[in-house]
Amino acid sequence: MAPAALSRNQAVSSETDLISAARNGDRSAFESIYRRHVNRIHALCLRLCGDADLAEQLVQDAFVRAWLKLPAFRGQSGFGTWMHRLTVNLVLDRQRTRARRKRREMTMDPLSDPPATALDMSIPSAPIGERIDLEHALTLLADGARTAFVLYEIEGHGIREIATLMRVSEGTVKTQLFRARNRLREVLR
Amino acid sequence: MNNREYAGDPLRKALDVLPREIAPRRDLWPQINARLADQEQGSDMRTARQDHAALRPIVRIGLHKRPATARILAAATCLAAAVIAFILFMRPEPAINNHNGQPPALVLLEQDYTLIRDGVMDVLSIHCVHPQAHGCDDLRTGLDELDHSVRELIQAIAAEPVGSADSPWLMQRLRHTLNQANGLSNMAGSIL
Repeated sequence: MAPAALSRNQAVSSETDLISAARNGDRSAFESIYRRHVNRIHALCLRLCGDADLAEQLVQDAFVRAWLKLPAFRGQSGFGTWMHRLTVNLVLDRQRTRARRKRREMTMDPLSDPPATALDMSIPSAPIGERIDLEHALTLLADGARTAFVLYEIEGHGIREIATLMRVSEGTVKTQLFRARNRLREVLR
Repeated sequence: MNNREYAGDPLRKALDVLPREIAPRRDLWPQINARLADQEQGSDMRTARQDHAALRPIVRIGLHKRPATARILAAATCLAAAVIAFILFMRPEPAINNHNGQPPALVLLEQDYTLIRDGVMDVLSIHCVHPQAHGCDDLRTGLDELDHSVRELIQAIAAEPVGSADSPWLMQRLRHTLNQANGLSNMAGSIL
């Protein structure tokens, strides 16, 4: 066996060992798993939510949830893939809750406009004349457009899969992608 | 143009150099570890409570029966609570948009419609300015009609007290309109 394949196999088997130890309640094994995956999960959270503080909170929540759900991890996919999916679901759940809360607050506020104004909500604008990088530009997108863009362009998910994750139609994913690309091109020019 | 084929534009270049991993600003493990320890402690306490509960029937054996007055008092309290709950439950509820508990389905539907509408609006305002773009008139008309329907339905639902006979029907109409909006969104996606 080639040395690269051998070391890959060793890495996989050592991760399997770590997972099985963590399943038995070994927190130091889980810490090793955390150290291996945290940067990848943090990048995902940061890009999906567009807020550094919230991203760190989400990373913590994702690993706590992973610890609790570890007994259900069957190892049919890699741990990274499982963790990635768990994190995306967590972030999208939080986004939905936050949007509902925001929407409810708007409706509860007697000074706010009637519900129909929700139809006119738009993407916040970029600072005029300022050159910004993609990471910053992502934060300027609305949740829906940012999620579709990050999952498709950065994480490599398919349209159908994203539609399922976001609980919207495939057409909505496409239009949100279109929206995101145009907005990003505008600010990256 | 394929979705991923737009070589040469600044967005593609920026995507190509985007790192796959970003380290958090601080080590998050101590907080995670503390939360896991709390979880463990909580589960230990639950187990202890369960053990304690299992012992309770054994401990009860041999205890005196509660006096009749205490039983009457407990029954009266239960009855009073039931009456209060009944009064609160039967009181006509305010309109849906004043509902303070779990978010009503209206909020979710409206949120979904906003997402769909934003995407279609962008297709109309950016893609449809090209003279060779097809299907834009239908898209525009469809969106106008849906906007009109959704606004009317939302206003009607918001004015309707929860539990009224018309509420479920109005919500059903709104769901149906949202399905139509999904169709419109698919149409917008197909003309891109």
